[in-house]
Amino acid sequence: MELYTFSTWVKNQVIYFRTLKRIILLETMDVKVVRDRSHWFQVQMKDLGYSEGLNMELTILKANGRSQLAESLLNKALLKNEIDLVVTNATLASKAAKKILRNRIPQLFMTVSDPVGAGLIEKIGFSTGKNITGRVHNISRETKIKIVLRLIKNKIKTRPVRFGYIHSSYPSSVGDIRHLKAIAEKNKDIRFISYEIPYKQFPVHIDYMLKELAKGLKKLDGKIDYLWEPLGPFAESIEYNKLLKVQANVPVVYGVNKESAQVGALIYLAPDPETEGREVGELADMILKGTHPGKIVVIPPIKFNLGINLTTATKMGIIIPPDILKLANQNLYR
Amino acid sequence: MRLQFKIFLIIIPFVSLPLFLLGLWSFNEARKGTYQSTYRYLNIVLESFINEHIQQNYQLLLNARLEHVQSYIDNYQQEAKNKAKIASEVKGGHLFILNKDGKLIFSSQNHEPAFIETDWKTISSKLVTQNPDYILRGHLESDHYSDIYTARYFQPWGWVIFYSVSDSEIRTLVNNILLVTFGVTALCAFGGSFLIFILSNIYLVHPVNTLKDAASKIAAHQNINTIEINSKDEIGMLARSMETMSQSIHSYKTQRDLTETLLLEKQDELSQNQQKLKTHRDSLEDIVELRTIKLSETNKHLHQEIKTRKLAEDQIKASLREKQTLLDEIHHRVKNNMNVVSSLLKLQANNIEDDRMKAILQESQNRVYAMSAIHETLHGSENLSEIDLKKYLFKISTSIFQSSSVNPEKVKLKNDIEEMPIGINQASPLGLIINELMSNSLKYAFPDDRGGEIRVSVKKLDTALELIMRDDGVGIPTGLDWKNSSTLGLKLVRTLVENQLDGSIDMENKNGTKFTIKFNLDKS
Repeated sequence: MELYTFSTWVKNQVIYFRTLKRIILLETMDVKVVRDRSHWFQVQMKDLGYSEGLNMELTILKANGRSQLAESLLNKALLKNEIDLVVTNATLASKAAKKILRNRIPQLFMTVSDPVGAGLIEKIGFSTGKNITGRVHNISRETKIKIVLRLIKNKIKTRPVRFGYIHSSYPSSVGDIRHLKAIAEKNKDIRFISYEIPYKQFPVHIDYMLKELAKGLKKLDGKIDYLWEPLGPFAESIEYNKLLKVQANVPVVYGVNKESAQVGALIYLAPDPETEGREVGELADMILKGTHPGKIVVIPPIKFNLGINLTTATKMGIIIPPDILKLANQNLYR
Repeated sequence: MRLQFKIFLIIIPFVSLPLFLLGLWSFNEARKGTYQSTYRYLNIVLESFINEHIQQNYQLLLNARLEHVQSYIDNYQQEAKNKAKIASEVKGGHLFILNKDGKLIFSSQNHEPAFIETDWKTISSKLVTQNPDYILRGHLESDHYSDIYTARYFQPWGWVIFYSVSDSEIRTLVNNILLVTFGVTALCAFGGSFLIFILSNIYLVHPVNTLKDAASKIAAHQNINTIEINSKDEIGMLARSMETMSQSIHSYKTQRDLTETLLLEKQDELSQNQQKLKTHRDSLEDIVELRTIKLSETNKHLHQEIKTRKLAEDQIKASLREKQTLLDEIHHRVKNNMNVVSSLLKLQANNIEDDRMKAILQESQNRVYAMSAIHETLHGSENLSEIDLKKYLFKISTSIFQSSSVNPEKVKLKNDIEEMPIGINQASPLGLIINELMSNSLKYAFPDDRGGEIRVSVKKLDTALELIMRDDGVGIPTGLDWKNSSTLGLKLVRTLVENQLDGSIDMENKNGTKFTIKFNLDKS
């Protein structure tokens, strides 16, 4: 183990002293949440003085939602050149990279909601001790539940509030509902009723998944009071939100991104894409300058955005309290 | 009245009055400060409440474009009232809100709404007509209220927000300050006076008493070595001065006693000495009288002796003058005789036709003249044992030169002779030497009408005399041994130098002839 750590340290020092840094950015799929983080990551790298072709060679690999493709692309890229750092965007790509790299090359992940559930790390809030680190793409689920309950308080008094959760079998989604249900078990005022759709390559098979979503809505009709959008690429797509707006008989009280609130979700609460992307850029710079990834603590995002749809709130008869309205700042939608 | 009580009475007003004035000033400042602080506090609480809970809520509604949605307005206003209740509970005082018509909307305390509306309506109306940012503050005295307050009008909601506290609370506080101030002042005055009393007793009264005791002892002619005051101040210095004074008095007294004893002893001694002196004086007068008689006799003898001696001296002087005249006459007669001899030699020479003989006689004549010149020089001089060398040699050399046959136009005589006296025993051979050497030079040095110079120089060398006789003529012929010459002249010269003058002679034959003669001068 010590020998392994020493050899990793030696490799990292070689990386530090080599002028041209080779970075692979492996993206799970082409969805907005992934695109935003990748964009801000690249902007931050540029701000830190990295210039394509001059002192940095950035190879962007797009896995199109397929784990095998991600692995294949990464393998090819690794054979082609000696790589200094692999940045992985979203869960699928991060898992594939971990499998291929096996801690030989520094890996930096982002847009991963449940890195523990995905098997990337062992604990959040600690350094990994291995050649991998990253930023968690999630906000405390307790916080989300607390805010939503404050808004809908007194709407349902006689029984627990039932939240419908229609999700794909994508790892983030599965991990998210597992944690939410665990919280609900401790809180008698809420329940999560989930409906799982088999994950297929996204966005290639989006139509299939939307049909399954519609099925899920019918299935949960009458059994739920509100809808709760799941984590993962499917719910990140605008199509998911639009379909809910058209076909859902209950309001969506929690959305995963700004678009959710714009379409009709009461609130959305999500990490700030710019902050998250720039933070990962900072970490990449530290690693390229010799810091061992295993020493960098994996933490949740330090900045998040809260958005509110005032029309939905009005329809639901909800008065947004001043403190929550203040948090939403300019993210108010109608 | 004792000193310490005088000090105490003097100090009390000096301590009490400033403390009283200081207390009065402090109380006044504290009272003003209390009211100012209260107003400032009321302002801060009111402003922070309005900014944080009214202005901010309204701004949120404005940003969300909900400022006209009544449900939101009611909710946010209620939220503000809730916060007002909490703020009032936490910070104290009375926070209440009237609408622009003067109707009570909220009160943090259970006051009768009619009292509030009646008593505060005027102020509320005044604020409504003012600038929205205007803050009114003051004191309300009515049947139900005696409060100090601050108030502001929040125009968007038509609220006049008041924050007040009861003036009685402030008055109680001010009265407490007054009591404490005067209590502390009185305590300080008493404490200060007591402290000064104690200190004056320690540092002033006690030392003064000690000095007083010491002065009494000094007045009673008691000696005081030490006064028990160790301070370095004026009193300490006075104590030291009194110690010195006491010691001086004691010392003076001792000295005076001693002096009186000595004076008595001296008076006895003086009386004895006066008696002795009288006896001595009498004795001395007798001696003096006797001595005077003796001295008169001795003086008489001495006069006689002087007279005798003066007579003898006159006889000696007459004898000396007679001898000197005689000697002068002898020199004169010797000179005349030698002149007669010289004239005889000349007459004889004139009758002789042989030139050699003629020359011999001429030389003899010159030699005789050289000898007679001494007597000629001595004749008439005061000192008959010495002659003036310069005058003598000048006379001889000039005579020889004039009597020679050389052309004075061509051969020059230069004399360089120092003035000095010389005994006649050395002058005579010296004159002969000059005569011989100059005669030789005149005779042989300038043949064939040759021109040149004869130089006679004489100078004194410490105790010796150096004569240099030099000519720049043809010089002595080579091979001539002048020291062993058979001629009378040079032989005579050597004989005179070595035997009569006991000196030395050297000759140098270069660019003429140079004779150098040295001999020691006789001590006269």
